[in-house]
Order: sequence, then structure tokens, then C-alpha cells
Amino acid sequence: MIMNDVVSRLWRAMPVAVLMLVAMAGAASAQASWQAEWDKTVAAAKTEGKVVVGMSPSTVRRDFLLKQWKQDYPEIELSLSIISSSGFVPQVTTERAAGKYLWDIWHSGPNFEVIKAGLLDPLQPEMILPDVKDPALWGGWDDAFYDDGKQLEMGLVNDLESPYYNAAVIAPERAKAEGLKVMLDPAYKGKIVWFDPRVTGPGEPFLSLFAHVFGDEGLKKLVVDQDPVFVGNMNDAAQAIVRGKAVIAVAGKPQSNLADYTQAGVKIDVRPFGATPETAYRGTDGAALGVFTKRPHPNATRVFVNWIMSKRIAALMSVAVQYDSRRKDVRPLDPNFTMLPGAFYIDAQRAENHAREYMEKVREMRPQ
Amino acid sequence: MTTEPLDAVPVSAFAWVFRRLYMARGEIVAAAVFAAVAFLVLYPIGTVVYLTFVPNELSGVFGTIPWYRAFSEPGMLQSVLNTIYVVVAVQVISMPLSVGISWFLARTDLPGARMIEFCFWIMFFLPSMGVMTGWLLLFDPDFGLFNQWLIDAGLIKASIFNLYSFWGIVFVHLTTYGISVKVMLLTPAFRNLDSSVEEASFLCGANRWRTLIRIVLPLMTPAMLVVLLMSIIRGLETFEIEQVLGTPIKFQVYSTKLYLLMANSPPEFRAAGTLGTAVLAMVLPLIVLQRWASTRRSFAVVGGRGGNARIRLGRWRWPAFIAMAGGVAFMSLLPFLMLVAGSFMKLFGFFDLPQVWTFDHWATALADITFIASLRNMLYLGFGTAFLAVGIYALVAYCAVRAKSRLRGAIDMVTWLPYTVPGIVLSFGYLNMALQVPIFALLYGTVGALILVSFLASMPLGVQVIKVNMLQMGTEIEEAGRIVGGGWTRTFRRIILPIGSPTLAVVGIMVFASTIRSVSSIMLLSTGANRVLSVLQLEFLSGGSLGPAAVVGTVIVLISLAAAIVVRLVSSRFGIQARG
Amino acid sequence: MSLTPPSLSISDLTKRFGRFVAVDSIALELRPGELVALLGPSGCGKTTTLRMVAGLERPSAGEIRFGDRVFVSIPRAIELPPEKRQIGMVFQSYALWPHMTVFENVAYPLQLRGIAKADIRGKVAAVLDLVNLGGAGDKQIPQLSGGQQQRVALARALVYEPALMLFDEPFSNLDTQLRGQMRMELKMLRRKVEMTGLFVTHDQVEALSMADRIAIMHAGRIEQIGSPSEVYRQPKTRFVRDFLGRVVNLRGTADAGGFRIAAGGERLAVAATHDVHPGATAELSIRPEFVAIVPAGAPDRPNSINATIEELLFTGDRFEARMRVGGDNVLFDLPSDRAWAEGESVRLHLPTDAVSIWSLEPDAK
Repeated sequence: MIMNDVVSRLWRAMPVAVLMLVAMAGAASAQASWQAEWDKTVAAAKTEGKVVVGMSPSTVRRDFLLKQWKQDYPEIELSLSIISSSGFVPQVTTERAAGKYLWDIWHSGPNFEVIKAGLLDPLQPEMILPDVKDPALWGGWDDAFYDDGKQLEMGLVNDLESPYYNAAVIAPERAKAEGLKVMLDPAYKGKIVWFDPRVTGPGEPFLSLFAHVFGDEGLKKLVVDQDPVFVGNMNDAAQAIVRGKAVIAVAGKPQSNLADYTQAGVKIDVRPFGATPETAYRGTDGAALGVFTKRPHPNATRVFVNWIMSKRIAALMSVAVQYDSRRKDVRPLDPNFTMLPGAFYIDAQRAENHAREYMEKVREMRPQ
Repeated sequence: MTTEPLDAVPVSAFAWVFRRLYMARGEIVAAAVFAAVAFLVLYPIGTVVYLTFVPNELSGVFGTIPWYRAFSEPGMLQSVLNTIYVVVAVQVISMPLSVGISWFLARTDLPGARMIEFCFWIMFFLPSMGVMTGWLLLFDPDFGLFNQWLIDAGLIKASIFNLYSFWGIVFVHLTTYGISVKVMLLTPAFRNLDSSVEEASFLCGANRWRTLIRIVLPLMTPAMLVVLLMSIIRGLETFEIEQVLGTPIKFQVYSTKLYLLMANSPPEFRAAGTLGTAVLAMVLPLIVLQRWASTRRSFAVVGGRGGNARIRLGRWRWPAFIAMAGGVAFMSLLPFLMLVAGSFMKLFGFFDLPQVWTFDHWATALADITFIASLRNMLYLGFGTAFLAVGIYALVAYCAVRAKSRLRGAIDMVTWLPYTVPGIVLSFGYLNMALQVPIFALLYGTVGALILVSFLASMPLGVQVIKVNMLQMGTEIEEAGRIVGGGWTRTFRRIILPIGSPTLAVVGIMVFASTIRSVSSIMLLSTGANRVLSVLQLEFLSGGSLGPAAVVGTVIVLISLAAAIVVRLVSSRFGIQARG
Repeated sequence: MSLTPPSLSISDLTKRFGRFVAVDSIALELRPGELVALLGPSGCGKTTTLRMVAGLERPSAGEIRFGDRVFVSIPRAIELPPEKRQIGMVFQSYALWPHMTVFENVAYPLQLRGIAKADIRGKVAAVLDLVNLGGAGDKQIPQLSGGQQQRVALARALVYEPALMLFDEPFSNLDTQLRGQMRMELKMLRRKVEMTGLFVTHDQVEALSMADRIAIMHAGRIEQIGSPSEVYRQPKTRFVRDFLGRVVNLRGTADAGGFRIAAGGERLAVAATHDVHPGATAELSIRPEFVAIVPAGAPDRPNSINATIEELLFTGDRFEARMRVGGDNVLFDLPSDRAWAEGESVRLHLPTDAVSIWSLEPDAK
């Protein structure tokens, strides 16, 4: 049969044809292919007109995102909600039970409840731009992603957090030499201010670090014998340092905490204990990224993901919010306070570090 | 006009049943009101209570039975005791004080009584966080201005009042809601009192003190019980004060433990729900008691004759004024000014900076991309809730007082319930209702959903206050409206509402003010599209921008004040308060 | 004003509050233009009855009709709401609306009836004149005295010319002097305005002076209905006799066609009333003002008996005297135109038609 013959000949020629096409495209217009997809996506996103983002509380990041996005994509509305990580998962599960799918982007955490509840889709398929897709720029997907499957929720920020001290009281040399052990000095009993680590928040991730450095006994010594003053908000911690009530603060970063004070002209010399694995832990500043399943604006979501992960935005945001980007091609803000290459840092937000169990222990040590 | 022939032929059974139903329409309406209120109230509460009995699959190893989980929380017992200490101390101090103040404002010729009363409204509008920060500025043990001045003046060696203490916590409770709510509600109630009641007692030779104790206060029982109960519940619910002042001195209360569970990751809604349900269980007997005490006899004091002679203070007039005005200025104007000043300070509480004052926070807040939309949403929310609330609360309160039905008591009880479960816990129940009830689901993501929730959240306050007012209004006032030819709706609109209007105005303002500043109940229903100013304030606050947060807080207070002033002007213009 | 207002008829009317029977199966008819008083001590059911007529209370059983209209009929499941009954009512508390002026209070019923503004003005002015409150329209309610408030309440009830007027203890909040004045005014008003009315009072003077007929209620039942003089002079029950006015009771024994005073032994020729059978212990009752008292020596009349003045109190216009008649002590007023003396013997003349005899036997009603 002639027909059969023709078909089978064509069939045999197929791989060749495909190979030729790929070679042509790959050589001459690799750019064209992602560019075309990108343009198509942006066009579709503009039709969608909106992207809905839930993010962790951070006024500076929020302001940056709103302003920068408006400048870059004025046609697409960025609807940004500051979410309380505690209420968000029940809220979204309830919404979904009622058939409402309202959210596109998760920009908080990492939060394992979101993952457990099955709210997130793999992130990598959303990446279109080549500099966004390249795992090497992010230190490998295994390091960037927080979920077990390494595909749902990734950290954008390299946040190195160390307790800080008033250098007028504690000699920097001593701090450098002894590291966090200074905190166990009975001289500083009652002089340590600590964002209440019994509540999920900026005080609690330090528990993993302290347990790592001091061991369980040392942690108990710190929490019970040193009688640290727990406070309910960041400003109280900063004030306690500024007013001289406390010498050591375990609450976020001094440059952001004390920014208001130093800008206003308060003279105070506070320094972090260090950037070594023995003095600092690594976190994400609540700026992980994920995409929701059944998101209402899939194309706008894609645009947002590629936008926020791009080198330009990563660099701008790093300066705006004063946190290092995880991108290797964005310079750290302070070359003297950055991760030592190859060193292992406690990452309190990884499940294996049991931050939550330490928190329970502290609740028992300090019931009131 | 309906005409019935004298000897009507026997009617069919169907027609008879129909007529019987028509006769019972009052009861049917009351039943419908009850059903609607009960549904709206019990749906969210039922959700929360139900979940406390469902094993907590989210929290995995950490206790699967919510009740056990919550009450095995370390330090729980001590926290419960601490709560009781605070509540008792606050009520023992505030109750006699508030009754005394209200009596002075309403029943005597105290100069400037209206202004002083208004200052208590200001006190009510002020956010508790703002007030507390203001007090810290004065009474911080180390840098508090007041303590410093006294030390500098050589009067004392060490600070005399430390806000970080049990009495400091009690003090903040008193100056935020403890006294203000009571005075706001008791003053109109005292004003309604027919002066002939007092006069009769004077004629019998009783002095003023005895008159107050033996005659006036017993008549005020329903009003006093309601404010007392509200104040106790509010005290159980508030956690910000102890969170800030109690955490450093190791003083935790029930509500901070509850907050702790909610703030966990994963959040322990169910365990927190058990704590909320426990409050409900504790408060319910009090509600029953209150209902019993306010219905076992008549408390009608507005008889339709109205005499409102004030007691002359004589030579005590000006000393009383100075004491009252001084106290009120200290408790309301001072924190208010500090709040406003704080929004202009470069660093709150730092007077020794090279540059103390700045407009930066205002510029930041007002220039925020979402500010205008949030303001607009807030106004929709505030006015929407206030208008919806005043009308419907009045109807519900009417049914709770006058319905010729056994449901009367049930309606009364049910309206209390949203208050008995802390808003932070109940918000999850509200979320469920807003999403699962088809009509409400249409509103989800809009301001409408927030109005619904705020309406429910304010219902106990609104309904109870109006109820007390209606208990004071004699039934004949209303019956006269019917007899002269007005139907029930017309009588309600033309007689009952206008006579109750001073109270309704107070309720409207209270609902407006508490709606636009509250976050806890609406938080879970808030999205980018229906963001209101209070949510924006929380966003600033949790994002560490204290200055802009203070600005937004100030804006909220100023709007409440403006609304309150307008209401006062309007009501005095139309002579609604003529009797006062 | 209406020519012949239809009449009110109450039948088998009962009201129970739980187990308590407040009104027990009463019947009452009002003739057109008639003012009937419901008189009785507090708790006798009179106010409840009035409120059922007004439509403010739903009967447990029975029927109330007005002319050809059924106000309420429990067996037929008909109930007209108060606003459709076209009645006027003056409340004990007046129930004036404190947020309205005098004018607004009175004008409100007319507004409800959709009457034109100009007409309202005229009608309100006329009715305020009628109650002697002309020109007080702009006053606020709390500015008025008790009597003025009372008049406003009256004006408000009259202004829409209701077919039936109800008064609930209308004068009980006034002082004695004002009360008398208002009674007089209301009486005069009835000459100008024809009204059928029912009013509730516990004050017998009010009932006797104002009402065309009085229904005396006791424990949820009507004891007697009749004209004031009827119920006053010929009480049908012991309760009515004792409740209305003063009464003098003398114990003795009934016989056929007469009554023998105990102790004194004098006999009066009176027909036995109230089922007293001959030979029964009984008491003779008479209103003191019907008794003519003459000094012992004066010309005697039939049906007179002896009495001795035991104590005398001079009160200006008269004497109050405590006298001993037979074995009983009784109180009489004596005219002050003559000097009486303690210990003086007098003769009491008891007109036959003013006397009634009541059995004192245990089974007597």
C-alpha cells in the first residue's frame, strides 16, 4: 500500500526532523523560546490584571514590593495582604472548603502547615527566565527549598541572625573570644532581653542555636539561671538596650531593630556576637516563596515569581529590606557579616532542628 | 376597618387555624428574631466548641485532645489565678468609682457635666496599646517622666510607681475600658431616672447618701449588672496589657496563655478554643443570674411624666468639678495628647534627641499606597455596622424585653454569647460562617463580610445597653402609641426609637468606635481587597513601623471623635437629649 | 361628634396568668353614651379587664364586642389590635411622650389618621381649649404640672373622637384638691362631648360621682352592677356594702317581718333582705347619713331605737360621735348646730328603705 509506505517513511524521518528543529532553535533562538513564552505569559497576566499575595509582616518589604511592582507592571494590580502565619492556613483551608480559591502567591514562612495542607504547587515549573531557573545561582535547589521534596517552598533571603550586645558594656574582644558563652556569665543575669521564645516569632529560632552551642543543660542555664527578661514585641527589646536596661538582646537584627533609634540620632554601639556557625543561625526573614494550587491568576503568578527571583529585584530588595539575597550573584550587604563558605549553619526553620520542641521545653522552664 | 358580623357563621377549621396563627403573629415574629439571632450567634460559637472535641490532627505529637492540651499548658493554674486577681481588683475599684461618677454627672448640677462625660467617651475610643505606651512614658521605673520629675525635684529617691507591676496592670485596665465603658453606659441610665423617686426619698427624711444606696442604686440594678458583666468579660479577654507589662515580670494571665496557643505554629485553634469555651462556661451562670436579677421586678423609671430636677451640690459644686475634671483630664486627655504627640515624635518617648519632632510618620502613613483604600473601607465598615447595628439591636433588645413570649429570656441570653468567647478564638468561627452560609459567602472578601462579623461582635454590648434602656421605659408609653392608632412598626419608629435615641446614639458611637479599631474578630476575613485601617495599623505594627502605626491609630481615634462630636451636635440640635 | 355610639359588650371574659385567675368569666354591657366605672381594691382584676378591652392584654377566654365589631373573640380566634379598635385611653402614668411637645403629643393620633396639616392644627387647638390648655401647645412635657399633664393625656385621647374612652386610674397621681377639680372638669366635658366610656378606679368617690353605673369587682368577678345610688343604697353583697362608703352594722336576730336588736331588745319592722330566714342571727346595715338622730325627748317616729353618746369629738362643721346601740359601738356624725353632750341619750330613726338585713349564720354568703 502506497499510503502505508509514505506514512512509515515519514515516521522514520520524524526524529531527524525534530532533532533538526531543536538544533536550529537551540543554537539561534534559545532566547526566543523563553522570550516568547515570557511575552505570552506577561500578556496573559495583563489580561488577568491581578496577582494576590499573602506575605509575612514586614513593612519595608511590603512597601518595596508595592512600589517596585507598580513601577514595573502598572497594568497588573498587586493585592498584598500581610498575613498572620498562625491564622492563614485555617483561613485558606476553610475558604477552599467553601469553593473559594483566592490566593496566588505565598510569600512567608517557610511554613510546614501550608505544605502539609497541600496548598502549594511545585515552584520550578513557574520559572521561565534563565537566570531564575538556574539552581547554581541559588546554591542548589536542595539548599534553597525547605520542603522534603525540594520543590514547593524556597527561601529568597539569606538571613544570618546573632544575638547582639552593647559594646560599651561588653568588650568586643571578649565577645569575639568567648562568643555566646558570654551570655552565661552571671554578671548578665537579668540583663538579657529576649523576644518571648515561648511564642512563634523572632525570639524562638534562637533556641535551636543555643541548644546547638550550649547543649540542653546550657540552654536550661540560660533560660532559668540567667533569668532573661522576655518581652512581647521588638520595640521593647530595642528600648531595653537603648535605655540600658539590658546588655544583650535576643531579638532580630540590630541594624533593623535599632534603625529608628540610630536614624533619630541615638548614640549606641551594639554589635552582633558574630557570623560564625557558633554565634549565628540562618533563616529566611519570613520571606520564602511558593505558589498556591488552583491559583486564580496563573499567568500573573508566573510573572510575579520570575520578577521577584530576578537578579535586578533581588538586588534592589536586598538593599531595601537590609537582608542578603540568596542569589550568589547579588553582593552581600556587609561582606564582614556573611556566611563562612562551606560552614554548616543551624537553620532553625528546617524541620530537623526541632525548634518547636525547644519552645515547649522553655514553656515548662518558664511557666509564667 | 375590619368589620366582623356579630353572628358569624361557624368558620372552617382551616380559617380558624389561619386566624389563630394571625393572632400569634407577635410570638411568631419574636420566634423569627430569636431564630435569626440564634443562628448568627450559635453558628460561629458552635463551630469553635465543636472543634474543641475533635482531635487535633494538625498538632501531631503535641497532645491530641484539645482540652487536655490546653489545660496541661505549663503555668495554666497560676495564670487563671492571676486573671482572677486582676479582674477582682479592677472591678472592686472601678465599680463604685464609676457609679459615683455617673451619678454626679447625671443627677447633680455639676458644672460641665456634658464635657466630662464626653471625656469618658474619649477614654473609650483610645486604643489600649496607645494608652499603655503613654503611661509607660510617665511611669516607666527607669525613664518615666513622672518618676523622673519627682526624683529630680528631690521628692523621692526611687520611682514611686512602676507600671511593670500588678498594680500597674490594674491601672491600665482601669484607664482603658474599666471606668470609661461603665460611665458611658450608666450616665444615661441615671439620667433616665425620674427625679420624683429621689425627691420622695428626701421627703421621707433620708439624706442623699441613703437615698443613693437604698433607692437609686436598687433601681439601677439591671444597668449596673450589665456593665459589670461586660467589664468582667472584657477583662478576661484583653491580653495586650499583660503581654507587654506582664511578660517581663513573669505575670501571665488566662488570655495571654490563649494568645500563646493561637500564635503557635501550627496554630492551636482547638486548644485555644477550649480556653474560649471555658470562659463561656464560666460566664454563662453570670448571665443567667443577671437576667434573673433584672427581670424579677420592674425597673421602669421613665413613666411618661418625666421630672428631672438635679440635686444641688451647693458649696461642693466647684470642688467636685475640679476633682472630676482633673481626674478625667488625667485619664483621657493626657493619654490622648500623648498618642497624638507620639505620632509626631521622631522616637516615641525620647525628648532628648537633637530633633524631637517630625512629620515623617504622617508622610509615610498617608502616602502608603493602601492608605486611602483602607480609610474608605474603614468608613464603609464603621458606618455600615453602626447603622445596621442600631436598628437591628433595638429590635432584638425590644424582643428581649417586651416580647409576649417565653423566648424573651432566650433572646436575651443568646445575644450575650458573642461576647463570652474571646474574639481571637471566635474569628475562626466567623470565618466558617462567612464561608459556609451561601448568602454570606457572596460577601466574602468584601467589606460586607466584615460588617456582618462586626455586627455580631458588637451585638452583646449594643443589645444589652438598649435593653437596659427599654427596661427603664414604662410600657404605657408604648401602649399609648398603639391605642391612639399607630401600628407596632409605627410606634416603634415614632415613639420607642426617638425616646431611646440618646442611648441609641451612644450605642451607635460605641459600635462605630469599637468596630473601626478592632482587629481580632475580622482578621481572618481580611483580604487585600477589604483591608481597613485597623488592619493596616496591625501591618505597620507587626512589620516594625511603629511611627506610621501610631499615625494610623491616631487617625482612627480622631475619626471616632469626629463621629462622636457630630452625633452629640445632631442629637442636641434635635432636642433628643432635652430630658437630660 | 358621633351621634349614637355603639355599645360595648363583654361576655364570659377570663384572664389567667399562669394559675392565677385575674379575671373570672365576667360579663358587662355598656349602653351608648354611658360611663361605667370598674371599682374595686387593687388586684381585683379591674385593670386587667380594661386592658383586655383596650387590646393590650389577650383574654384567656371570652369575647369583647363593640357595636357590630368584634374586638376579640377567643373561641373564634379573632383579635383586633389596639390601633384598630378606635378607642381613646388615659393612662395612670399619662404615658405622654417626653420627646414631643404638647402639640405634637396631641397631633400624633391625627397624623396617624392622615389628616391634613391645617386641619390638625385646628383640631388640636380646639381640643386643647376644651381641656383648658389653650396656648400651651409649644411646651415640653416635663415643664408641665401634674394637672396639666393629665389634661394633655385627656386631650390626646379625645382629639380623634374615639367611639370608646378608657380611663385607667386617671386621677390617682394628682393631689386631693386637683383630683376634685379634674372630676368636675371631666363631668362638664361630658356635657360637651358625648362619650361611651369605661374607667377603672379604686376610689369610690370618683366612681360614685362620675359614673352612670358602677361595676364593683372583687377577686376577678363583678359583685354588682348598678347606678351609683343603687349600689350605694342597695348593696347586693357584703363586699359591696363594706367597700362603698361608711356603714353602720347592728347585730341582732331576724324574725318574720322584723329585726330585734341584740342586748337592747328593741324591734324594728323591716322586711328581711338577702335570704335571711326568721330566727337567724343577723345584722342590720344602714349608711350613717340616712339615720336621723334626735334628742331623746323629741317627737318620735316609727322605726326608732335608743342610743347613748359615749364620746364626742368637735371637728368644726360637725361632731363625730361614738354611740352605744344595744351591744354595739357605732360612729355617727352629728350636726354642730346644737350642743350635744357625752352620756346623752338620743333616738335613732332608721328609714325602712335604707335598711338591709344580712344573715350572720355560718353558711351565709
